[in-house]
Amino acid sequence: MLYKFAVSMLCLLLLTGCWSRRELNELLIVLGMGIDWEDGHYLVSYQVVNPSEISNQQKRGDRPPSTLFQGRGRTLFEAARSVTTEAPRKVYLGHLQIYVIGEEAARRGINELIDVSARDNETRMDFNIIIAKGTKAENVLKLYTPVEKLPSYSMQQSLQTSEKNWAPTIAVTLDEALTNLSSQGSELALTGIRVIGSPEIGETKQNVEKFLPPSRFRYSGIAAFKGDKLIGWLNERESRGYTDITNNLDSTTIAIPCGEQRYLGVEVTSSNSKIKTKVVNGKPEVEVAIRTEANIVERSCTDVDLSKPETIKELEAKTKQSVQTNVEDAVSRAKEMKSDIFGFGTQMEKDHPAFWNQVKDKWRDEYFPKIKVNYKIQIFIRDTGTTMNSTIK
Amino acid sequence: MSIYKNSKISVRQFCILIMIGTVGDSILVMPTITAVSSKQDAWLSMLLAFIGGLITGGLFAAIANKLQRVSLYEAIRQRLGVWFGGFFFLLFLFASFMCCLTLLSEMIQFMTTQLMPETPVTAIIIFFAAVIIIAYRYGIESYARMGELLFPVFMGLFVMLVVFLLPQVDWPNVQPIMAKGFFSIISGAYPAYCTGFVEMAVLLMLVPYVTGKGKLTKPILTGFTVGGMVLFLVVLLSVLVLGPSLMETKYYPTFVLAQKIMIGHFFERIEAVMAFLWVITVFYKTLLHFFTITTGLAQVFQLKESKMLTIPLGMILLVGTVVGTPNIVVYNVILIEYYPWFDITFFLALPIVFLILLLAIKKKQQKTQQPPQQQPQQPQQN
Amino acid sequence: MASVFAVLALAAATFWLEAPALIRQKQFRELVIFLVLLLAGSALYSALMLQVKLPNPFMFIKWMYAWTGGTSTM
Repeated sequence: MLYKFAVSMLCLLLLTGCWSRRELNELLIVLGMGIDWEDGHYLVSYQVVNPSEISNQQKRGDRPPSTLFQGRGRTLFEAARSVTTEAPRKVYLGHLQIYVIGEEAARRGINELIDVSARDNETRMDFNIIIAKGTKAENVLKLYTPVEKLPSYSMQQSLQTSEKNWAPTIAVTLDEALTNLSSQGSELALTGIRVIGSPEIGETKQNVEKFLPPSRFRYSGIAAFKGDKLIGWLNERESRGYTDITNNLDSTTIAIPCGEQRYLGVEVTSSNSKIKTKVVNGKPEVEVAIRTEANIVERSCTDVDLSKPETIKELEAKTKQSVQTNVEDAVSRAKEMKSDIFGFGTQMEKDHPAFWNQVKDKWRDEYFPKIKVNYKIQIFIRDTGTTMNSTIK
Repeated sequence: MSIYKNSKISVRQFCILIMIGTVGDSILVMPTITAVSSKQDAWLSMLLAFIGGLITGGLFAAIANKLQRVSLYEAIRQRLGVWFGGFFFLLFLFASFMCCLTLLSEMIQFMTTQLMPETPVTAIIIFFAAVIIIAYRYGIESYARMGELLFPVFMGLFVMLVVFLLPQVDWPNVQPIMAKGFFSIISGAYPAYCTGFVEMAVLLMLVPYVTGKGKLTKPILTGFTVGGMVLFLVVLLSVLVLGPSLMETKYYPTFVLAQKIMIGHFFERIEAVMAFLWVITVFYKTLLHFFTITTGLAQVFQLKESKMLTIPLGMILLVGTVVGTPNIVVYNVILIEYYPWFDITFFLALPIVFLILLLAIKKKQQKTQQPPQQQPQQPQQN
Repeated sequence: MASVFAVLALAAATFWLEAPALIRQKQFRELVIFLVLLLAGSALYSALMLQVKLPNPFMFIKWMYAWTGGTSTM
C-alpha cells in the first residue's frame, strides 16, 4: 500500500513539465525578420507581435500591433542574442513568416544568412524570403499596414496572392532557396519589395488613419543572383517572362493593344510550361513549351467582334506575341547578367547527365549566355466572360 | 539455462519485434547517410540494402531454424565447450553493447538537436535507460505484447506521414537516375544495410522464447520485408519531397518531412506527434540489444537471474554513451566510416561461423548423447 | 563531489534493492557478478562525474578498423 502510494507520488514528479520548456508568455514571437549590412556588421531587425494589441478580448491601447527590436553583431547569432539587452524575452523564430534581406546585404552574399536559418532548430522552412529594393530591410518592417494588423502577415499574404494572381512575383521558401543555391545549374531569384511614399509617416499610426495610406509596400521586380550575390533586377515584363518559363504562373492578365491607347484585357486562367533540353552538335539547346488557357475579360475596342472565330484566332496570335516578347526579354536579360535563373542547367543535368558533367563548371559564364532557346507557345482563349458582344454603342 | 523459461511470445509478436527493430534508428539517419554518397539515387541505395537485408534474413532464419528453440549460447556451448563457446558469445555481446551505445547516442542527439536543446544529456539518458530497465524487468512477454499494441499506432502514423506528403512529391527530383555510377550507390547502401539489417542479428536471442516448434523463416523474413519497406519508403519520400541537396544537409530529414506536412492550412505543425513514431522504433531496438546483453551475460556466467544486472549495466551504458559522443561530428565520422565494418564482422561473420558450427558439429552432438543412454541399461543386463 | 555521493547513493540503493533477494536464495554466483558489475558501473560513473578523461569506446572501433581506411575510401 505504501509502495503504491510512493510510486504514485513519484509519478507526480513527471507532471511538472519538460526540462527546456518555454511558456507562451516567455516567448517573443517573431513574425518578420530583416537583415541589413551596415558599417561592417549585421543589423538584424525583428518584427515582434504585441499580443495584447491584436487580441479581440483585451481593451486596445495606443500601442502598435508589432514592435521592432534590433540587434547588431558580426554574426547573425550575436545580433540575435544582443536583442535581449533591449527586449524582455528571448526571440522565438518558430512562427517566422517573412524574411527581408536588404539590398546591400544581398549584394554582399546571402550564404551565411541561409546557412544560419537552415541550421537553427526553431525555424521552419516555410517562410518567404524577399529582398528590400532600394531601401533597408528595417524600413520595410516598420510599416503600418491597413486591413491586416500584422505587417509581416500582410506582406506574406500579399506575396502569395500576387504569385497566384499577378505573375511578376514568386514566393520562395527557405528550402527552395537552399536547393537553388546548392545546384550549379540554376541560380536563385527572389522577389523585391519597395516602400512607396515616405517611411517617416509609414512608421506612425497616421499611416492607417487616412483613406489612402501615404506609405505602402509594393512588390516589384525579381532579383537575379549569381551564386549567392545579387547582381541585377528584372523589370515587370521580364519578371513575367521568368515566372512563365519556370512554371510559376498561375493566373495573370495580359493587355493587348487594339487601337489608339486602347487595350483588350485577357485573363490567363492557367499556364503550364515545360523545359526540354537537347544537345545539338555538342552545343546545348533548350525548348520552352508554354501552354496557356485564357479568357477575354475586357473589351474596350468596339470594333473587335467577339462573335467571330477569326477574331479569337487573331487575339490568340496577339497574346502569343505578347507572351513571347516577355519570355524572350527575360531570357536575354538573364543572359546579359550571365545568371541561369531559369534552371536550364538543372534540366540539362537531368536529361543529359554525361554532357552536364563536362560543361558544369563553365555553364554559368560560357554556355548559358550562348544557349539557343526555342519557344513553342500555345494560347487557347476559351471564354469571353458572360457576354459576347456588348450592345453598348 | 534460460531465464524466464516459461515466458513465451507468439510468432506474431516475434515478427512485430523484428519489424520495429529493423526500422530502429535507421529511419532517422539513413536518408542523410545514403544521400551523402549517392545524392538523388539514395532510394536505389536503400533498395540495394533491402535486397541484401533479405538475404541476411535468410541466413538468420537458417540459424534460428537450426537452433530449434534452444538458446544461442547453449547451442554453441554444446559444440565448442565452455571456454571457446563463451569467448565467441562474449564477442557477440560486446558488439551488442556497442550497438546499444550507438542507439542511445542517436536518441540523445536527436533530442538535443531538434526538440530540447538545453536539456543536459545525462538527464535524457537516465530517463530513457530507466524505461528500458523497467521494460526489461517486466519480462519479455510484457514488452512483446506492448509491441503488438504499439504496432498499429506506428503503422498509422507512418501511413499518415506518407499519405499527407504525397501532394508535395516532385517526381523530377529523382533525375538523373544512376548518373553518378554504380559505385556511389553501393557505398551509400553499405551503411544502410549494416545499420538496418545486419544489426538485427540479435533476434537470435529471442528464438528460445517463441512458441511452437515450427520453422521461423516466415516471421523473420516478413519482419525484414516490412521494416525494409518502411525504410525504403522513407528514403524515397525524402528524395521526392525534399530533394537531394536538402536531404544531405539536414541531419534528420524525417523530421523535416514531418515539418512539411501541410493540409489545407489547418493540419500542420504536427512534427512533435510524428516524433513519437521514431521514439517507438528506437526504444524497441535499444530494448532488443539491452535484452541481448543482459540475458547473454546471465547465460555465459550460468546465472539463474538476470534482473539484478540491469541497473549496473545501465550505469555502464550511460557512461559509455556520454564518453563516446563528445560531439556529433566525431560520432558521425565513426558511424559512417568504421562502424559498418564492425557490424559486418560481429553481426554477420560471427553468425555465419555459428551456422557452420551448428551444421558441421551436429554429428558430434549426437554421438555424445548416445553413451549416456546406454550406460543405465548396462547394470541391468548384468 | 556531491554528484559522486549521488552515484554512491544510487549504487547503495541498487544493492539494497537487489542483494537481499539473492542472499536469501543463496545465489552467490549471481551476487558476485552483480557486485562486480555494480562496482564497475559506480566507478565509471564516479569517474565521469569527477570529469576524469575516460577512453572513448568508439575510438577502439576506429583503431580496430583503421586499416580499412573507412568506407569513403572504399
